Amino acid sequence: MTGSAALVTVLAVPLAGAAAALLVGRRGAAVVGLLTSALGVVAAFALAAHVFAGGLQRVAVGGWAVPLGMELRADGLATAMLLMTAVIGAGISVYAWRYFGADDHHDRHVHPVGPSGSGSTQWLFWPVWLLAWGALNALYLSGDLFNLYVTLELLGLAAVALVALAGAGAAAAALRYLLFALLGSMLYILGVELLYAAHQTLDLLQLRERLQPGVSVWLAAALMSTGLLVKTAIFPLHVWLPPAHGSAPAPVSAALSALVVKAGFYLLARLWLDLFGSLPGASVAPLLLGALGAGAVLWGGVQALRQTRLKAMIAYSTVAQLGYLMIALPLAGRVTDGAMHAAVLLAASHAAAKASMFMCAGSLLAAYGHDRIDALTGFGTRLPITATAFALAAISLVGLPPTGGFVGKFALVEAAVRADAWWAVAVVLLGSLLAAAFLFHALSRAFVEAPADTASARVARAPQLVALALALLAVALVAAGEPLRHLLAAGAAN
Amino acid sequence: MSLALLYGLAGIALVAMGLYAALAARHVLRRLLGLNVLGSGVFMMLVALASRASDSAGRPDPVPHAMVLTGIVVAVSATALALALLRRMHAHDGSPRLPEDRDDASDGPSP
Repeated sequence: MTGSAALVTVLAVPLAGAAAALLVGRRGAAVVGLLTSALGVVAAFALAAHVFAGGLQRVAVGGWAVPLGMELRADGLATAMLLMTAVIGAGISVYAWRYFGADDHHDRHVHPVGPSGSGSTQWLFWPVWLLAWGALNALYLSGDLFNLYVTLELLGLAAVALVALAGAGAAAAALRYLLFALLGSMLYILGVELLYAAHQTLDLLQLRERLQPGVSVWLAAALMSTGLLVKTAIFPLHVWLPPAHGSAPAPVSAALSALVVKAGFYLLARLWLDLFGSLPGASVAPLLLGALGAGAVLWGGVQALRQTRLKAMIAYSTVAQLGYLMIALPLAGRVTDGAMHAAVLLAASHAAAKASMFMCAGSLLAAYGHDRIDALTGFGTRLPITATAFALAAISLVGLPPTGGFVGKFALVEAAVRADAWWAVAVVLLGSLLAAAFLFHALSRAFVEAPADTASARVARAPQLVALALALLAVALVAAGEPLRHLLAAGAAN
Repeated sequence: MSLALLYGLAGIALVAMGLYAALAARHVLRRLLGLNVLGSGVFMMLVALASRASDSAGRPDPVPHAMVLTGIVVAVSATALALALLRRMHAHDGSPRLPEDRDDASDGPSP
């Protein structure tokens, strides 16, 4: 397989899988979903091998050259995001297979993890989830501002539909999410329009060469950034995230918190490091984004500390974790810089740990029938696998060694010290303390002795093992630093 | 004033009106209509842009036209999804407003 074939395969596999899952219907959707996930992982690794060996991979869609056609490109950063999506996405697929499939299980002694009753539409998870996966891949591979808009919308619509799968009670959360997403993409497309009016191209690389500083470019940058901040749920535009992520079924929460919000961060990084970074005086804007990130880390941490329900707490932790990624932007001058390396590591380990943690929350919800943190007593003895997974994921999120979260935070602090940005060091340390406070409070429930009368439902083991595997992945990412550095450097666009 | 400029200014006016409605209205249907007006303004500006950037033979630039067509498809699907969700929320909660906007008892059609 050539590099361009691998690139097209990465794009085509989830989209074809989504169509196939819809066509085969309820009976076979899960099988199609699992097969597609396996193929998706293979395709992503094949593309990564090509980027490792041959640098930037590109395909002109339909043979039409830029500027009339559009180009798909895979550089180091895009490939890293694709790999993260594929590996975590496959884990989410396996979890969802047991979660939604538990209703059909013959063994009635094992309590299904998934919600029973609303089973008639549950299989729709598969086509919509594969569509979201395809939209993410398309977004990472797009080298064209308008194509990015289309993929953003595709991703937004799929994500909203995933939230709505929880039933009529989640309609308000899904609707709020959709209204925010639509507003965000309208602001983004307005900015794209201004850039096109001034430069007659939508291609990112061409635009970078032609970019002329001026009022319209700054206005475009402001509009696009605001739109993306809404979509990424960066403080103070995060209000839609906790209800949407907190009310969705466990595999959906995992996919949204781990993968979908990272798309907005990726685009912000692309815009400010690749495109607008060359403007005179452009360093002010990333600094502003970094300040918002600092606000997100602190506000998200404090809010997470105040939550009484586990899923809401985990969702606020996502708000805080997205802040760290924003802090990396003013510290990084280019995509290959150390701070960006730290941000990608943090994004990947957050994806693994957060997916695992939402899966744990799903198992706890099934075992206890609620997710009030203070009443989850004794889950260490009742669900030892889940408790282990939760502990490992928490350690990585807080940033204790030896985990991916630790390496990411260490690299971020190192970049901050090198740039004399002591405010960033202070925020990272303070945010870690807050994360330790709320995560270890939840974890401490595991070791409280449970009242004898609460023992009831047994929970299936397979979903818990998936959560454990993803938590172990978050720990194993401790070794990902060097390969990631090589990947970012090998695939650099310039 | 050229025709393209007129279209462009009308587009900007629509964007401003739509943005205001999307942010200030509390009835979700009004916010959705606001977002659609905002989208129409964006598309109108794109059409104006296409005629301004015409080539030597006077043919308009095809790229903004392609963008408008794609944008309309996206807007229609997003609006359909939002309307379906609005109906579902109204049936479940008995209100056409998001929970944070339901501070008073009346859920009538007022904004």
